[in-house]
Amino acid sequence: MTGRELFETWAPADSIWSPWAKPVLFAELDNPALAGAPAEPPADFKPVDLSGLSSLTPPATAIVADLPGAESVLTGLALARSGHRPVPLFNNAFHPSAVINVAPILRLLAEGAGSLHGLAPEAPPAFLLDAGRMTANGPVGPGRFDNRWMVFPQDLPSASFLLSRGLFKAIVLQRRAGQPAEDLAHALLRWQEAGIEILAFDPAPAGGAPQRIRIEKPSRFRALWHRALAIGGLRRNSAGGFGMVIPVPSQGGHG
Amino acid sequence: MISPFRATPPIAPAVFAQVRQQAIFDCCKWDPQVEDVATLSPVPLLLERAAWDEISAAAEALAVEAAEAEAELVRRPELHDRLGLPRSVRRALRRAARDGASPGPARMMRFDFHATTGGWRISEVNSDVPGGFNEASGFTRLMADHVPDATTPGDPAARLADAIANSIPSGGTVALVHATAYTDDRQVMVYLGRELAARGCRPVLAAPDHLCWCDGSAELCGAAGAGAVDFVLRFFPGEWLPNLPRRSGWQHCFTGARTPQCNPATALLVQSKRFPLVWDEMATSLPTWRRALPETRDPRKVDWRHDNLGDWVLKPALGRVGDGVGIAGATEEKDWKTIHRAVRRHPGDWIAQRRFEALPQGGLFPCIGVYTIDGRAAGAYGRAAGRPLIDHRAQDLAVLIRRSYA
Repeated sequence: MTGRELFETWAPADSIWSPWAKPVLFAELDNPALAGAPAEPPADFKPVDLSGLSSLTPPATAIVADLPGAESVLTGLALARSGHRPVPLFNNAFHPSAVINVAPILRLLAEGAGSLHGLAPEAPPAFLLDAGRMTANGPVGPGRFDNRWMVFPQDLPSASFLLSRGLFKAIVLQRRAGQPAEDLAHALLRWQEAGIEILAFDPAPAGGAPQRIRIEKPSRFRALWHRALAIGGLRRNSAGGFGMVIPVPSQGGHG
Repeated sequence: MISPFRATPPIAPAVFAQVRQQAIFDCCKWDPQVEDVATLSPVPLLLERAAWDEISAAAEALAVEAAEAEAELVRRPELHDRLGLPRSVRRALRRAARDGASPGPARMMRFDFHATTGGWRISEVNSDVPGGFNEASGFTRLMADHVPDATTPGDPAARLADAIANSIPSGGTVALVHATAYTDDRQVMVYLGRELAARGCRPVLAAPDHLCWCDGSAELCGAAGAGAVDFVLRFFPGEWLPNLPRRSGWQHCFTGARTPQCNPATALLVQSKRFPLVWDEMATSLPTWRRALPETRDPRKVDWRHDNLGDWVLKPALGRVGDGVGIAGATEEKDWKTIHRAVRRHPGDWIAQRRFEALPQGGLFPCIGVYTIDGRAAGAYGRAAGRPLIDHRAQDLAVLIRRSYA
């Protein structure tokens, strides 16, 4: 299956949520270097248990799965079985020496594609994020490709769009108690301010039931330059850092 | 001014869905959605041939004048302090004044045109690292296939690749320097890399500090490979370069390089929105700029008590993609106050530009970015928004020309 075919399976034309699916990772599927990358889920991979969500009524609930990459995909596939449309929002590139290995995510996206058929076009969304998007696997050292990324409010539908689709509740699946990741909080607080109820749920085997949470105001919330500053900050931190291969010190400075 | 646009129906939804997928996978358009806005518009912006002839000729004249002005400004460091440039950039520019600017064949610029009640006006030039190639070349070509009697105004990615390929030995290595994991930037570089490869060049996607400089010649080092570089295509804003370690040799983007670049970072001299504030002290004649660019003032030279607030647009000197632009009535009140506060604190980093009344088309305010490559018009990048401010929420439009008048 090509990257385009796989993308069309995960983001079919008839789903209203498909426009938000991020294509960059799917475009990487045709990268020949991908064949040599380890694609097994990481050793600390945890099974997901969604039984605590069973009492929810899918048509009125949006889900944001902010879980480690492989778990996020598997959670999306499990949610598809209960009537949600998984929407991949992974927004980084593949590189053999990347600080985040996206090969397990791509492998699971490919393996799980077959189980996505038959979802209703109006199925509520389950947005899939990699909770490790800002966490490097191993040291961020010289010669490695820094492909960390952030999620912005612009990457998700607005609250008014969700409400127009009858979605008055959103559940954040996360392996942490309480507040969501700070970058995600910018979007969730907008939703909450517009009247969408936000709940958090840990899909671990003993994760309990979804808990209602009040999103705390993240720094630079609704700030005019939030996006520019956030991206700029990342670039500054990474110079070398975000978005570039960290230089080998001994190889620099010929200038 | 009579509207230069021709109403045209949208592409049929099923056909456009295919165009969108082709744009994503064939043209590397990886950001097709921003919040609730589908960034690719199914409605092309159809221009009369005469209108294209007018703005393409104006863009060519603007490019010639900009190049002359930049050359003069490189030699005039006493004017640099007034352009709102960071200190480290000014320091590198002083060296350029002494030693000369780094070579820059295949010079690209993009002039953003607006149809207004007073005729065509430009709001700015992107003379450092203009983007939009994927949309202006790839997406526009895809759309043209579905619009009868229309043609594209050119293929800027192809013309840029031609210019680079013609300036280096056959099979030469081109380093495409960008923030590699930032999808919006990477998609441009991957697309241009394909164009270069089709011309026999060897494109290498590289990070900014992936370049080493040896006696003024660029070399690749680290994970992107090793070896000599014949050309550096930079898609990393010039004002960001000082964030790199000094040992990376980023100053070669301004001066002291022997490897040709597109664009040399001295382009920031004209990229700054405060460029018009030094015109009167320059020898270079800028008649087209004076005609096309609305009046520009230092914010301290505007009488905010008596001048109508709505007559002015506030812009950061080095803003990009509409970030930080304030327009009374179009910018949200809270953002407008933030901008005003920033202007009061750092007026030397801002400009006030006389507002023009843009002509809408189909309820949207279009902006046509006309590319020039080595001074010749090469294509157009269309964007439009529901308010007279083009920012990252604007839609991308395919700019097409009515063939029957061609």
